[in-house]
Amino acid sequence: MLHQVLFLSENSNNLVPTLENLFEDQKDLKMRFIFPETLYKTDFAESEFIILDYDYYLKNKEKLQPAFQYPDKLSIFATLTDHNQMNEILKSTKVAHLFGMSGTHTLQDIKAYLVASLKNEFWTPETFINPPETVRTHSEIKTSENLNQQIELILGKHDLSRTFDEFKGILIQILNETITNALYNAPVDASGKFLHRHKSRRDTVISDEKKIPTLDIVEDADKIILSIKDFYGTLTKEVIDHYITHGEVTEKDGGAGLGMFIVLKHAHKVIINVDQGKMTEFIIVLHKFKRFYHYQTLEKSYHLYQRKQS
Amino acid sequence: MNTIEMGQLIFNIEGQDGALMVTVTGSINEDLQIDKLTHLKGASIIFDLDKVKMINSCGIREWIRLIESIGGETKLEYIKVPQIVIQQMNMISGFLSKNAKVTTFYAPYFIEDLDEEKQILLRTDEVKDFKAPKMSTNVDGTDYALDFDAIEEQYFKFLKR
Repeated sequence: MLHQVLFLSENSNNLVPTLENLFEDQKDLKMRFIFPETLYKTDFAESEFIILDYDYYLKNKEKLQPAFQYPDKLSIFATLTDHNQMNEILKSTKVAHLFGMSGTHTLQDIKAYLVASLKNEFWTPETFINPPETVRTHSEIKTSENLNQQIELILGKHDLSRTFDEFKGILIQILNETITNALYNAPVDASGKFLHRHKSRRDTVISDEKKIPTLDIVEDADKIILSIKDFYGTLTKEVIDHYITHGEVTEKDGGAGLGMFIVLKHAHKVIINVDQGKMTEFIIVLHKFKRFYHYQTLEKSYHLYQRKQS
Repeated sequence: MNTIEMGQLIFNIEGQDGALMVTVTGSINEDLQIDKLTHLKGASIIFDLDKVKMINSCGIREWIRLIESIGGETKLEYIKVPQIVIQQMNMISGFLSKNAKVTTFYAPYFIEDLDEEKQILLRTDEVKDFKAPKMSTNVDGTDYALDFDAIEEQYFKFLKR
């Protein structure tokens, strides 16, 4: 089967051949990348994927608007070092895949996205590891009690000496928010009613023994990759779209509704895998830099993979 | 001095006649309980945040509630604000209220020659046109120039209000 990808960019002439080359090792996937001068409605409708350059879209809105009629197959790439810009794009487009553009590295990510989507697979921390892997820890978070101490104990097994001082604080904040979500916001009872969502975060929550959230931290020389999993799979795209772009306190009870926004602000890559009714995983990729300036200027990406209940 | 402990968070409150100095130590999180701080009232309150280690989203919400409960008439001043709090002030709408100002805060600098980071305490009036002031340091008798180690427009966003 031939998989058609509509690649919409001013630089398609240069980018598509590079992308085609990257697929040479994928003998079982036959790809056809198109970037016609004149676009017809059928080009959008008949393509399995639409990859859109956001700068190109801003210059050709009328011509490229039909892409947004196909949210399930649309992904966007843009030059993204500024969180506000990323936020604006996510807010206005509600796209599930937003790639920060940084040359061939991004094309590798686009390839990984196409492969994972076609094989109905999720990205994993291994997607981002450049061997050799240096440190790996696996932990179960059974209770919300003393959560920060638990996090600090786990981070103590990782070498953060070649990072700027505040990096550890950022890691703690990201882990505090994502683990709190896994403990309080994810669990439901058999009827689908949320068990702890409206509880004060001062009230201790103990995980169901069969569904204990996990935290995996993997490192290579340049990156630290966090994977936080709950085993309920109750997060929806609508909830993510609302909270991930919302930098204001809106919730009076339970959580403050800021966690996902803060995580997106800090991380270089945020990947959310939702296997509906089974599992939600946040994968957060952070590059290790000695200088905060370098950390701040690295491009960002956001991805949501969903596997609906059959 | 009046000390109020709330889990991992401690408030030390000094002063009288409507002028209070509050030193905050620990993690600003869900432990922050406004009902334990109802006596925080006065014409002016200075918050010293030097010893704040961590902050989370529940802490941000409770902090905003605390400031609302103090009232808009009180003049608030933040001093020695650490980088992690500056980042929240820059990202969360409403965290820095209209009646509040930052007077001193930490900013990241870097000594290229020594491959070393240094947190420098700046006064807000040292930042002109959102440009970081030039700094130098002396290590073992040698002078080194310090590079500001953040995107100025983003780090000093809290000064734009």
